[in-house]
Amino acid sequence: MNAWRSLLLLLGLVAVVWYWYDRSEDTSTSLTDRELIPDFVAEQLTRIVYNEQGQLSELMQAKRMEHYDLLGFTQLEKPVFTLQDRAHNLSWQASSNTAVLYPDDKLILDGAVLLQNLIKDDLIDRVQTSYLEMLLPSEQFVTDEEVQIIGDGFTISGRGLRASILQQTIEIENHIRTDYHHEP
Amino acid sequence: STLPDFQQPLSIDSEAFFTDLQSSNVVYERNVLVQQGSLTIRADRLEVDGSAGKGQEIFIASGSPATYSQRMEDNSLVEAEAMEIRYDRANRILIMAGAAELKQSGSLVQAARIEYNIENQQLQAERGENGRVRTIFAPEALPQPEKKQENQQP
Repeated sequence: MNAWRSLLLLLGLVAVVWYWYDRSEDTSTSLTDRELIPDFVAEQLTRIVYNEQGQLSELMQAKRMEHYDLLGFTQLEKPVFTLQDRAHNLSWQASSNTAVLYPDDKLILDGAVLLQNLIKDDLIDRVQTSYLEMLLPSEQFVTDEEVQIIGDGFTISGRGLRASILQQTIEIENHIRTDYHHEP
Repeated sequence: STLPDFQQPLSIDSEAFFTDLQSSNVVYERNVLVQQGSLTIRADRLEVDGSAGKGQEIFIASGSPATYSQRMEDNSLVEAEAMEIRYDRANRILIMAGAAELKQSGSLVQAARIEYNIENQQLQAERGENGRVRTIFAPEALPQPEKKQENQQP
């Protein structure tokens, strides 16, 4: 009789363990699937944000945007970010093939990154690179990749850049060469 | 024949680069080398003043000393050094200030400030308050009266 009871007990234990294992297996896979499904998607979008004084504070366009709440980021295709200087004039426009935005942390621009100066007759016209991070709190642009800065009659190439939109400064850590084209 | 120096592109090599967008100046630092045809300037620091616009940039090289060398159209070599060498690309004028020296076809001029016109190879030397202008001619380089007139201000 005793043998029967312990056998039943054993079977019961195995069933419980199997049931528990099977159920947790489900939830973790569903969680991973859930994480990979964007919470919302937007296509051909323009996002305009105004501050309390009604001034333009953010202007962003993109071909496609996917927001992943659980993973805490937003992915963008063909984004164009228009930035303002302290006086809220349009100053620079950042665009790339793709971008990932980690709110309150940074914006990563990847592939054919272009920083276009919107202010006419400024010395520097645009900055080109393959990868660029915009550190959000300080609005600093940083990269370790090769960069090209194209200005009025000259081209600067180097590797590693730090640019501040607010201070309006650009610095190349490893300047390689600058060419001033001859003006006839 | 190759293009004269001033019609050639100008290149700058250096370790670091910085610009403040509000000014029209860019700054190059550490091992700065400027080249335009045979013109060569070496300096610790170079500031390019672009406020006069494209093609009118002023290149301000500083070092201890900054040095300049260039082969003239008559193939003579001109060399100079000073604490600051200012190269006005459009007007083809060099202004050397601070222990300035300029060597040209065997003569050496030392002064506080030397202004040199690259086009007509004319120079103007100014002494500092208590300094003076010294010109040392190598024997074979004694100026022929009609050849080059160096006007020196007292």
